[in-house]
Amino acid sequence: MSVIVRTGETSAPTVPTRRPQRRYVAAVLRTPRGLIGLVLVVGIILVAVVGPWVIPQDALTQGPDALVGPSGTHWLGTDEVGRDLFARLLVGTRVDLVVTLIAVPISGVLGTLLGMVGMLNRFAGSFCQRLFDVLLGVPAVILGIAVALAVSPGMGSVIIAIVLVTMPKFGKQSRTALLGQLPQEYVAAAEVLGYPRSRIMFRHVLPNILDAIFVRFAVEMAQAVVVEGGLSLIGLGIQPPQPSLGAMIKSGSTYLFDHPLYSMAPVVVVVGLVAGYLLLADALNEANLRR
Amino acid sequence: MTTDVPVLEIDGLTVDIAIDDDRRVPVIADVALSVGAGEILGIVGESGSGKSMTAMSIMRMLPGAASVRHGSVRYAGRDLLAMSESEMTALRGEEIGMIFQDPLAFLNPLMTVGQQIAEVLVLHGTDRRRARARALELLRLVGVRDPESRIDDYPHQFSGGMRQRVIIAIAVANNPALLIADEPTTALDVTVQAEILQLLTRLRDDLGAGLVLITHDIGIVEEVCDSVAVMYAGRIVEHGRTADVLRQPRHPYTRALMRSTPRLGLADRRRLPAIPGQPPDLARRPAGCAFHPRCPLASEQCTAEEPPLIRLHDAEAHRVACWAAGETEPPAAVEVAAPPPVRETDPSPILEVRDLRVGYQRRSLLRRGGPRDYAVDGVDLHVRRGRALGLVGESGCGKSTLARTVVGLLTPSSGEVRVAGGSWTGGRRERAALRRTVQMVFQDPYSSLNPRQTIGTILTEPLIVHGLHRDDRPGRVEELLGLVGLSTSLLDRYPYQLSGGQRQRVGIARALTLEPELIVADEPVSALDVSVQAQVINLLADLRDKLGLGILFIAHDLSVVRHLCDEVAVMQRGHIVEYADTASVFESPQHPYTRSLLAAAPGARTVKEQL
Repeated sequence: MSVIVRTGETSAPTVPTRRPQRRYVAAVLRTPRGLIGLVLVVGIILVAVVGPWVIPQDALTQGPDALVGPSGTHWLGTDEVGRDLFARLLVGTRVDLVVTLIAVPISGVLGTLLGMVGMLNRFAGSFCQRLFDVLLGVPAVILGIAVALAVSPGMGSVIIAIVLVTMPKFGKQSRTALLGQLPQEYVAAAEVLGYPRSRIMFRHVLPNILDAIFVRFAVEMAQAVVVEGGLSLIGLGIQPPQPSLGAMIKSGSTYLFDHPLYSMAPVVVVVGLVAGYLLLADALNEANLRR
Repeated sequence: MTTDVPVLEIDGLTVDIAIDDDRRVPVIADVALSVGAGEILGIVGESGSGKSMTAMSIMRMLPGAASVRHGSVRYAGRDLLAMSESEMTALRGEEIGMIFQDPLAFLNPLMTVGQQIAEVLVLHGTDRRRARARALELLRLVGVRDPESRIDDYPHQFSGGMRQRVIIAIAVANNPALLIADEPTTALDVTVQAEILQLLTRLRDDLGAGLVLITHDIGIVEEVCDSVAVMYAGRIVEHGRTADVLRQPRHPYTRALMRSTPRLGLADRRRLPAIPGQPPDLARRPAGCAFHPRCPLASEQCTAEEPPLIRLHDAEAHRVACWAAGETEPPAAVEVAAPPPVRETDPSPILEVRDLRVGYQRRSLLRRGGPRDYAVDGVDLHVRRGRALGLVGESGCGKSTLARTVVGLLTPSSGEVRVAGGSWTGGRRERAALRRTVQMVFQDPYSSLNPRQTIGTILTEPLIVHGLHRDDRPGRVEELLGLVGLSTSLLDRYPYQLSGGQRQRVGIARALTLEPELIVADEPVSALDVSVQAQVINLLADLRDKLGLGILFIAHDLSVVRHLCDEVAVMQRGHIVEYADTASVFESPQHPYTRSLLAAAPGARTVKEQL
């Protein structure tokens, strides 16, 4: 009802040729944070995907030399049953990536949609939000333990745990972004033009909140790496002999003083991945704000 | 009134801004101005003209991407641009005060107004106890009634106009010699605006400070300014004493701006003379005189050479930057309105509103469904086919609530809204038919278009949803663009690539896609530049006559509705207090509120003097 007056002094001159999507990617990559984040994440993914094919050692083959230090054949040394640590690190990272890249997109899509349900039905909307509140109230590891006890521990339980931990945050994020969009006049315009509610939600509002969801996605990828590590660390994650970053940190911690590389190498990878995702999230966020 | 040493002297000021990694464009160029003690200088211009940038350069508060290329800004003989940051900080708030546009954004919601006024005093060396006494004195000075009881109130407890008074109190707290006010009344209602302008004039008299008043409204300049600088595309195009400039404007832009401003003094239903085209994009400033693409007097020289700002012989200190400053305009420029189509004497109503009440539930802690506050309280009105009804009122009067109820976004508490005989309370079929019969044009052309859709998508989507024009949708969209005067080259553009006026035309085209019979326009021009406002008002008038549309036109400003509307309804606190045909409302207003609205409109007094 109040009179909104813009003097328009801030309307920056625009170059009308490039599409907004491309400008957005360019804006993310132009910042040092965005570039470093992308290099870290893409670099680790590439090494983990290609690495196991290139190196001669196998991650599961046991050998006669247990707990030896780094050498020409075993770059990071071997573990307590003589398996090559570098090969296990690569495969473990790959397992981690598979788990997080399955879990987080599922939870992203579910969370975002459930967060927007309120637009179609107010009761369902508040029900979802209360559900998210309950899930947010339970610590991630406890949630993971509960899941591992309900279904048997393994890759499946880790994925479910990650979905349960990260989904409420997508849900909250999408609801907040949605509430920010609803007062915009283009939503009222769509309603006046007689567009169905679901169309307004998916065709109009959703594209406008996606950038906030992308930021959340990067943050939750980092969170997922941590959850996997935490669960495997207490033995309720990926089960042996399958390597994973968390499991390696756990078994390596016994030999921390004699063979520090055993547990430190996976720690470095976890830190690298988490830092990469968070830097990327930060750069995405900044690019959103600038738009 | 001017003394010998000017308080503020700007010379050759040029500021540029980075628009890309390696491209900088000037936002203001060669600005030269001076303000004497006790003088009010108005800087008037449209968005992008560089008026706010000029103010920000004086305060040394330019945004990060902008920097001063050359020129000087002297305050009482001292070069502000050469000062260190700490010297500048000492000057701000002490000797130079600034008043901003948005009174709510400027005040800290967690501090009382007394604390906020005292803060600026204490920072500049007053002790705390004296600061409170002075804060009381200041509140009284700016016209806050009963300051003893208001000093410990928080900003949210003040109305918009009162908040602006508090900001003015902060700005003048240390008796500054120079005040800079950037659109100080733009966010306020007309009647409040008149009070604030009076206050500023009185403070100038009391304090003897120089005042730079930045505005887009030439009526305000007329009312309060001693001298005026007209800016266009970053340059001063005309500068002189207000009386000289406004009585005998020499620059074609100044003349056009004055003509296209809706005035109360003009005859009803006359087409507003619009300035063709739109203000230039800074990145693509035309060569030569930046105004030449829109100028009726443009010659070859204008397209090639930038005209210098030169003094005219006949008036002292009246300067103009125009190659054709001596010439008068060809009279043919007056747009002859197409003879109105044969109008039915009493067309049938397309919209009937009867005893309408729209309420908001007052939430109380213990029970729901408590008493209601009615934003619209017992309104009757009707709009006839091919006619326009202007609904005028200040913020909070319920006019937007009424508009949203008419288009079915809000549900009435009681009473009736009938559009072409149908009602929103009817069945599914009836409502679907109504959707196509009534459409809305929104206020804010920035948020009313989905930023992620191209103009083509925005205009095609209603056709897809309603299954219209299956065989030739692109043809229909082209036709719509033609109706609102836009080129088809815009189809692949995104809204952010369009100017405000273009966006509002897209908004109107979108409202027309479903071939409605009634258009509800909620403040469709209040976010637009003056020269573009006239274009949009004329466009609505043309569409009404060509398509026989009924229009419910909502505005906060009486002068805007005069050119378009056949009838006017004045709304106050949810009620319609005056409802008559346009001529009688303007010539013999009956209700005191209508009279106060008319009296408060900027330029009203001077127009009356001239008549």
